[in-house]
Amino acid sequence: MKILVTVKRIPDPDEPLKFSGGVLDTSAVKWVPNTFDEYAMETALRLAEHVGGSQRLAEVIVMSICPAGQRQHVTQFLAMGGDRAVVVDHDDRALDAQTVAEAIAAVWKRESCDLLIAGKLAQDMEGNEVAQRAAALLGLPQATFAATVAWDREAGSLTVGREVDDGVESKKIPLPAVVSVDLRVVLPHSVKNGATPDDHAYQEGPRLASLRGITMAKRKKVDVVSLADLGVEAKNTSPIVHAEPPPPRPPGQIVESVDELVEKLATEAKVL
Amino acid sequence: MSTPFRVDLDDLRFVLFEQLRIDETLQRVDRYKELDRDLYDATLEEGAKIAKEVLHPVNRPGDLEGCTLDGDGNVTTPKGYKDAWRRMAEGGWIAPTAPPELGGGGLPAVMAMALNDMFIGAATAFMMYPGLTAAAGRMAQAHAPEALRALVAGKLFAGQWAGTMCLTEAGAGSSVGDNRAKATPTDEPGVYELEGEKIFISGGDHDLAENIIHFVLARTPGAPAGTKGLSLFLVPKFMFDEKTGALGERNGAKVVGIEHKMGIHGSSTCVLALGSDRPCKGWIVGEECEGIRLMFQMMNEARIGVAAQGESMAAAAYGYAVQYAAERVQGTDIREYKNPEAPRVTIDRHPDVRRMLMTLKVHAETMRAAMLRLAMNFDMSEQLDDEADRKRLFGRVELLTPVLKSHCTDTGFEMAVTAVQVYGGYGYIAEFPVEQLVRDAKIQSIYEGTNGIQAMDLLGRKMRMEGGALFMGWMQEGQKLVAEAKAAGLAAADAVGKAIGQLGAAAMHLSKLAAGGKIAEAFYMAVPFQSAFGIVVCALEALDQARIAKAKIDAGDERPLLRGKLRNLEFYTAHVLPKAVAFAKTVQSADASALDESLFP
Repeated sequence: MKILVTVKRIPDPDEPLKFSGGVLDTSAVKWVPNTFDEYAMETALRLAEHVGGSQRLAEVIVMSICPAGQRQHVTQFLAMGGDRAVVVDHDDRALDAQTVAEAIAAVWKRESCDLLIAGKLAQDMEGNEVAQRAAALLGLPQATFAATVAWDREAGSLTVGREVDDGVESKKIPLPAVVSVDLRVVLPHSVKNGATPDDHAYQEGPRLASLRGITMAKRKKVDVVSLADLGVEAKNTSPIVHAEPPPPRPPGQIVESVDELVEKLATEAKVL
Repeated sequence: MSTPFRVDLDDLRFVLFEQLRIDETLQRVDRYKELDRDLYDATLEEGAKIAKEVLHPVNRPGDLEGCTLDGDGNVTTPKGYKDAWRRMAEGGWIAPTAPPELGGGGLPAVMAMALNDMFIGAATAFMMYPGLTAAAGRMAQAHAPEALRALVAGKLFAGQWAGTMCLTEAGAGSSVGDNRAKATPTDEPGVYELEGEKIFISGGDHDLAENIIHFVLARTPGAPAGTKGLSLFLVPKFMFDEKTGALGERNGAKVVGIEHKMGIHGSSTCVLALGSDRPCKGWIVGEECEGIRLMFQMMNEARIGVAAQGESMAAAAYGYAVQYAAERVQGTDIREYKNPEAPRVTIDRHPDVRRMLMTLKVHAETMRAAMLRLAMNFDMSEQLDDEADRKRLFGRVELLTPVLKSHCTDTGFEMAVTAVQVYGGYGYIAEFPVEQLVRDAKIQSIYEGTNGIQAMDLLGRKMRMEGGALFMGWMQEGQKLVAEAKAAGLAAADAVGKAIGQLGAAAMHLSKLAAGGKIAEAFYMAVPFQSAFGIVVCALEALDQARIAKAKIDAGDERPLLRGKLRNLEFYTAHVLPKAVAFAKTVQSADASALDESLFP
């Protein structure tokens, strides 16, 4: 089995953003992997590894679209335990979601993958559309917002618990398939592969890379390809026209009475 | 509300890649030529996560809970320690420099130092266990009996087993030559039975690893008195199969008490009885009476490790204080003193708080540079092809070890106290992290050879090695940097140059005293001399950093960090460096008042 995990680099959400001339100034930005993609990676690794055994059940291929010289997030994913990587050498910020999905579909076909695992959205744009678009392009079943994943290797299917508005929906999909993951997929018991004991408790959260993993990451294979190599045309049908920070929040007010509060909520805040 | 733990990756990167340029320097040696900037960066990023997510969460609970001892000599560490240890061990972070052939990460010492900068401040007491274990692993790798070497070193490096060093006894602390523990040969070649009692043994027992390897100093029958008669033994908690490492029966090294201390509560400080309830077996390490020489290898490493602790305490203290001061609102801007309507400001707007923050910043950053440089010199002293180069760099490490051990630990404590001062009343409250820092830091100027012992090592041994050539070489290199900095237009270079001169004059004065038979008078001034030395060593780092920053600023680099380096040099020259000159004057003062026999009769 081959699992393709996609990772987007985003400006560090813990750092303040800088704007200049109506655009986001990324010149001094620290790039980090999108957190939901880290969850996707953790999911893939839990499916691929047999805790207590030595056999690996799947190959995990990391894919990212980024300038080839700025792929530290890919190195990090390889250090976590990915087997190899495909880097599409392009500034991802100049591409729309459809083009990104087309590139993913092209890599999927090139590598003859069986499972795509993606974060449900990227924290910078919060689009929540790439995995769905890729599934459509590939004509594959999909299960989005996965909170639990159980792999039935005999049947070649996944049972996915999906976070939906009124609870968790359980959905069984045949492989090959597309899964996008949500936060709770990295709880200690969320992923089962039928080989690792079902009661095995993983460390909560995406795993930290080991020192050995970091050293090994440098030796792992990274294919650098262009969009043209993949037969994908670079498009941006939804360019950013203007970006500016939100206005600063006005200071809080202390009111004298409940009446005054209600009055202000109704007239100033207009929430009543 | 508490203050989050911060690591200063930007400054670490500045020192590693812009000042020391380790990626270029270390690629010159075979052992590290495959390591590059990317790998170092990834290691730092992941190390920062370990510090924040794995280590720091056990720091305060460990302080509150401490260690407990049961009736069978088993120590339980605070809640969370086991899990943190497991995660450190799984990730290979216990001994980052361990050779890849023994399952280690194969990092240079300078990177391990960078990790320690983040790790120790995050969880000071916890980090004692990995620190000692890694040092014990290297000791085993170098000197353990051939048949055990790879097995024991590998288990220690992997964190499956842990390690200690056992020197101190009730009557033999600073005076290690008074050791009385006995070792008697058995029928089995190389195996001895030990009897005695060791005290103040950090990590003497705990529940983190499945076995513990003690390196113990003891005296064989008929051995001469003093340090010359000491031999070194490898004493396991559980006996083990020499081929597989499978654990056997309990050996007779048993903890009979743990100390209740001012700080580092999570670190078990043990009284270790040898052969009290059952025979205590140990393998001799090296030959009989070679113990002190071999142990000194571990001691020297531990001294550098303690210097790193001091540095890391200052880094943590600065991190806490600067964040707190940016949030805590109190008082108004002093320039608005006539305006009753003036808005309240955060305390980092007040000049005296800024002075304290700058004190924290310059000490944290200059000590970081000095420690990383020491570690890089250590790497090069092991790996360079040219023997003369190796010897010169090792000499530099030897010379600066006591200087930095004392400077970093004295200053680290002082910076923890300064951080409390920045916090004001809340700094004294246990809810905030800085009071623990003060308690945890105090031991560092005491253990692994008190700073007084360091000064005696500096004066009695290091300054005299190779006829004083180590010191002369350091002075020459310092003056060369001063000349370069001056040529680059840094006005403060002169003051640093003068301070080096003053230090040289103080050294000359001491050697005259000693040559004239005034040994007590010379050693009476050992600590002031050492203090002056430490301040000047770090002044050179401030100067070097400012020189590099200036060149980059002149070339259009606008990072605030660089401007900060120029300000560091100004501040250091005005507020810190004069203390070195004052200490140098003290050294040359001819004072011997305290040596008057009628005092303290």
